[in-house]
Order: sequence, then C-alpha cells, then structure tokens
Amino acid sequence: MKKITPLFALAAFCAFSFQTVFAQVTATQTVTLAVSSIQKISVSGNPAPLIIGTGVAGTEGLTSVTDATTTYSETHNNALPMKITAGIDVALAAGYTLQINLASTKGTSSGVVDISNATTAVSVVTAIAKGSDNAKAITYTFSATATAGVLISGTKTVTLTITT
Amino acid sequence: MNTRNSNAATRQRGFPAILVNAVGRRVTSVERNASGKKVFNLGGSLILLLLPSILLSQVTAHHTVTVVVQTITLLQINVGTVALNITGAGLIAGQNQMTATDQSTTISWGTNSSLKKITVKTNLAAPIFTMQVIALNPTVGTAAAQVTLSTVASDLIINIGRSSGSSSLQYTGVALASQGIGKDTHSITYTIQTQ
Repeated sequence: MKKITPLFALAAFCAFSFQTVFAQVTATQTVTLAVSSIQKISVSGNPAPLIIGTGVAGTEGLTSVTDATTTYSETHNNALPMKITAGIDVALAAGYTLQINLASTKGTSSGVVDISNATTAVSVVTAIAKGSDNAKAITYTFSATATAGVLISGTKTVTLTITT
Repeated sequence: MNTRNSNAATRQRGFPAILVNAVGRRVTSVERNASGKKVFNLGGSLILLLLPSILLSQVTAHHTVTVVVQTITLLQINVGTVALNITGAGLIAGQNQMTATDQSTTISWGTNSSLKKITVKTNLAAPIFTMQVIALNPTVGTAAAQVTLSTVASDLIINIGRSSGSSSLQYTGVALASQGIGKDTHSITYTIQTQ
C-alpha cells in the first residue's frame, strides 16, 4: 500500500492535469474587414416644373419662381474633403436664368449658384468632410426677362457630382 | 506426494485407510514398517484420489479491467480566413453606416461533460471598425445575442450539455463613412469552457 500511494497520487495528478489542459479548448480564425473608398450621392426626385406666369408691369424681369421640394443625400469616407458640383446638359438661352442652392451640414454651401450656362460643372458645396448628409434641400430658382420671350419646353438635366 | 501426505495425515489421525482403484477394487493395505508402525501400501494402481485433479481441469481466473473516459472537449472552425469588404455596393447615399456580412463559417464542437459554453474574443485591441458575430441556429445550446468583438471574451453559445453540435457563424462588419478607409485584421478565438 505504501508503494501504491505515490503511484496513485501521480496518476491522479496526471488525470487532473489532463482534464485541466482539456477543460478549455480553443479554435482561432482570421477575419479581416476592409473598407475601400466610397462616394455616393443621390437626389430625391425631380422638382415640379418651374413655370413663370407673371410679372410686374414696367419691369423687365418677370417674377421668378422657386422650388425646394427635392433633396440630395451624400456619403463619402475619403480622408480629404470633397465637393459637389452641378452641371446642366444644355445651356439656357439668353434671358433665362436657372439657379441652384444646396444646403449642407458636412460641407460649405456655395449659396445661390447660377447654372444657366454650367455645361461645365461648377461647385455648389465644398469642403465636405467624410461622413454623410441626408436629405438636404435643393432649391431651384428660375427667372426670365420679358425680352427673352416665351419658353415652350425647357426641360433640362441638372447633374450633381461629388468629387475631390 | 500428495497422496503420501494424505495417507500420513489419515494415519496420524487414526482413521482407517481404505483406498479403491478405478474398478472399485481395494488397493491399499496396512502394513507395519521396521519400527512397527503402520504404513499404507498404495500399490501401482490408479486411484480415485485423482478425481479432484479431474475436477480441477475446469478452472477459472479473473482479473480487473479498468476503463476510463477522460474529459473530452473538441472545438473546430471549418474556415481559416474570412474577408469582409465594404465597397459601397448597395449603400444608399446619405447613410453613414455601412455593413458587410459573411456566413461561410461553421463552428463545431463535442463535449462529454455537462454545461459548457463557447465564448469569442478578438486579439485586436483597437479596431477601426466594428466587428460583430452571432451563432445562427445552433444544433445544441442557446445562441447568445449578437456579440461585438473585443479583447474580452463574450458568450456566443451557452447551455451546451454532453453533445456534439454545430452552428453557422455570421460575421457583420460595420463601418461608418466618417471613420474613413481602412482595414482591420482580427484573430478571433473561440473557446469552449465550463459555463
């Protein structure tokens, strides 16, 4: 019995050690999450037709109309600030003026910007920090002179672009 | 030798010694030796004293067999590497939060001891983005709520009894546009342990 006791103790120790070693079992896995450069911009829809229908007698400029029913949203994650430009597909004829004003939280609005002849896009919001702006107002103002005459159909495409 | 001793013992006790051979013939006789003491003459015949030996031809033996089942706990991940990429696909402008998910991983386990749980942690102390994981429909046990990975182990599956089971793992990477561009590499450790 005296000989068995140390052996038994050793066996018990080994058994305990075995259980201790295997009491916790682990498995590992490598998971990477990569985020690439992302820029998104969208508009809520098209503004209602901008129709000039009145003026002031004796005044060359007719009464302008505005529309602020649409919005834009943007997201970007670039380290460097970005900007939004606005361009028009075809320039308006002389005497007609289309202006745009974009509100912004993440950047600096350029205020009211004339895009009547902006076949080359112009900046309307600058210094936009990474992050997002959601549903910010777009305000269009359309004005005309009496001299310009009647404009039967003047559908234009305005393109907003977020860029560096 | 045994017969001789037996006879001597019988003689010393004073019992009459009557031995019979295989055909029932009495084969012993009592004689006196030179000193006048009685001795048995067994002759050369086969005697029935062999009967006990015959009986002993059917013998038994026993020994002890010890069987031991150690505590066995197993854990395995079927995929070594998972890559989540947030590219902006499907992202709606104006949203700051972007996500990517992966469900290609299965975790499997086996345990013969009761009430275990599986925990999860990452080695990445300061990730740029958020990494979440949840066990989907474990075959055994109860899935914990979605875990946001940190260096502190969090429960992933609890109430695992003696069983083998498996579960899909769904990783969700969450990034904010305001966090910019980057890459996190997590070494994620799953541990099965006593609950």
